[in-house]
Amino acid sequence: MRQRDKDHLSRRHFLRSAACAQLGYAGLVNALSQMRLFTAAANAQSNPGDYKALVCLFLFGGNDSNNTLIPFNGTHRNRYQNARGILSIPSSDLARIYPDNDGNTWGLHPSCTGMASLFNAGKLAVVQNVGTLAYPVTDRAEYLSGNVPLPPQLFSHSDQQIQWQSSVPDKPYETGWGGRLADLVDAGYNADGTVSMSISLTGINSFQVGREVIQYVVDKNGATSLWGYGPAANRYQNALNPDGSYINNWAGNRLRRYEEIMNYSHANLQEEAYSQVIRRARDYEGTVGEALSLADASGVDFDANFAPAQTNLGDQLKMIAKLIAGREASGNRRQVYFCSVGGYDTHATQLPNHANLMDELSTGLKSFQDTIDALGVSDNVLLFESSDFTRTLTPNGNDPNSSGSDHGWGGHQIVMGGPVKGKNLYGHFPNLSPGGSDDAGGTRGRWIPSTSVDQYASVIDSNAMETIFPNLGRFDNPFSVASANLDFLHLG
Amino acid sequence: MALDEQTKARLALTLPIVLGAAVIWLGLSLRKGDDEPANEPGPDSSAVNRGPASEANPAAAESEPAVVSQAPASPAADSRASRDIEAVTPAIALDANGNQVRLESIPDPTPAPIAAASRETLNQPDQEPEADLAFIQDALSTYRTAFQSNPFGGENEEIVAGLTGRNAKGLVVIPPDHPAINDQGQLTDRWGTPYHFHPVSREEMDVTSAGPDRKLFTDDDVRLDFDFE
Repeated sequence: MRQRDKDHLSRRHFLRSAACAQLGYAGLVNALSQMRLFTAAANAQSNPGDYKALVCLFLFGGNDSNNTLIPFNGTHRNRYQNARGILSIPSSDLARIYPDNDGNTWGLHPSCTGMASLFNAGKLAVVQNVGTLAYPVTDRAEYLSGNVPLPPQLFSHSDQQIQWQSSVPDKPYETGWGGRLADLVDAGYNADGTVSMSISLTGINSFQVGREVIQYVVDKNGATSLWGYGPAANRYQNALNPDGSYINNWAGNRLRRYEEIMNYSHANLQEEAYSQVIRRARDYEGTVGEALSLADASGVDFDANFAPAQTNLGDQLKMIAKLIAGREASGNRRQVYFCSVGGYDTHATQLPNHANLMDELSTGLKSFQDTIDALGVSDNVLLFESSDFTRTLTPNGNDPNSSGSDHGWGGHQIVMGGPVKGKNLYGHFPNLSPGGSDDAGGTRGRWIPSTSVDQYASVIDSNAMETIFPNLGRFDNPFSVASANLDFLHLG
Repeated sequence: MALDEQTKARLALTLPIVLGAAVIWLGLSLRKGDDEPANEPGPDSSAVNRGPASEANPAAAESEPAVVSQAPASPAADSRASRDIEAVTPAIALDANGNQVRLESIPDPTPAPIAAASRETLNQPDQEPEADLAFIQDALSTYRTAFQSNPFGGENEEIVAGLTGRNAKGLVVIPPDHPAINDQGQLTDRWGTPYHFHPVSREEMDVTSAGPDRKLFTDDDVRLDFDFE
């Protein structure tokens, strides 16, 4: 691991180190620009509380939140059990949670013991029945009346994913709310930053598309390096000396010429844009490498913390935790991360498949929060979860070995971290009666959301809400209407 | 599963019919929506977070959704499926540009050519089951040509409602009295099991037949895999 990170120290890292040593000499080239970097790092160090990271976890496919937050007994339980049938999970198997603000009794999926412990420790909360809405829909009768415009393509995967990530369901997609947030915040907080405010662990996504800030994609191993200059363990071994200078060999000269070419200015816009992308990626690569080195020096054993979560999600969250640990390398005081996993479209064989998914989710979140706590930045990091939609309450067959559930609408979402007023349930739990007041037509149990994505997300991001969430005025203000029950964050 | 030559030939014959459907559209006349009071919330919805009480139906006031205003539904349009569907799918429709409008009444039915073809194509014993699925995809394609997106909904009966004329043009892609449509308004396969519709995007819809064992998500399910060889 250290060998790889050492490789990632890259030329930028060494240039910075060299500049640091040269600061005692007047008139050095680039001193001013280097000073800006150090100032940013110093600010981050002197104001450790003024760092905030927002982590978006998207569960692609439509998480069955009917079997994530489950009634333990009472009326909700009776309705759940009657309608869920072969997909119902016995109360005795649930991972019990004890919310402070709800008189009912609840449990999480049996695989979610880690999440339950976080909930009961006050580090995690659940926001109930959130979904895409163009306008408030009071109930089933209003839904059926056609009087209220509905989100287009309500039950389609890609449309709902995009609508969740844009928060603007009734207009053609242009930007995501994470991207709009970055556009507004980046200049004020990250003026001296050396990496994008928007970092994705799973490729380009709709959530982080903005007009100014360009998302930067890393993977579970860190930055993507150029190929052809060394083995996987040390990508530039054949081209660069340890001090970052080029080796006088074929590989070193090739890398030198390539970077020179990328530094040319081009009249052709496409050529210029290509060069900018390459230059930016190389710069960011250096910053990420430096951040990983700082993470290694943090004293936190990431591998040990994530030992229970050696999964796709666990690997992504581990990398995010490392980048947060090495945040001083970037100089950013505000950061938005995006990670995601798929497989949640459980039309078939739902019971075992969803149990595995919940195990991955729970172990990943528990390991991440434990690591963030160990880093001492619990109050600075907020994770929120979202998904295409939840699933139908009623199963799509009679065989528990092959059946699953289909596409629903409003579902329960998880928020986690020090900023969360944990051990509580927020929003409003739906009436689990197929064909009842909260069912969106038919008798499958597809819940009309009682909280819109706009409301949910605006609490998470309270900056310039009208700009980021243009439809928010159509709904109850989550900050001033107590009945919204969305006071789930310590703001400030 | 690859299509055999006979099926391909049938599909080739169907294609011009499908395309012909695009030219048989009724015009739309749109008017502003009425400010109708919101319905009373259900017993479990009294405290939910669905908008200020003073703006019980802000959608009507703010967006003034367009309403499809057409002649009253004809007896033919008032089919078994369209009667039952009132409790299933909202009175929402899409206009030719894909914009959402309120469906005040179902326009007079306008059968697309493919609707007649459906009687000779769907669930015919001399064809492979894949041909049924290919026909359904053609029907969905015809609908998308007219409305720029799939029919509203995720459930079989919702989607079939759109295909059988519950839409802003009264476009009938599959006749509402087609023998493959059951009492619940669901399109069934040749073994009598409702097809499973899976909305992937506004332009893509997976359709699955449960196959001879009539159980979904088992090995004998029938899906349409396109063979481009």
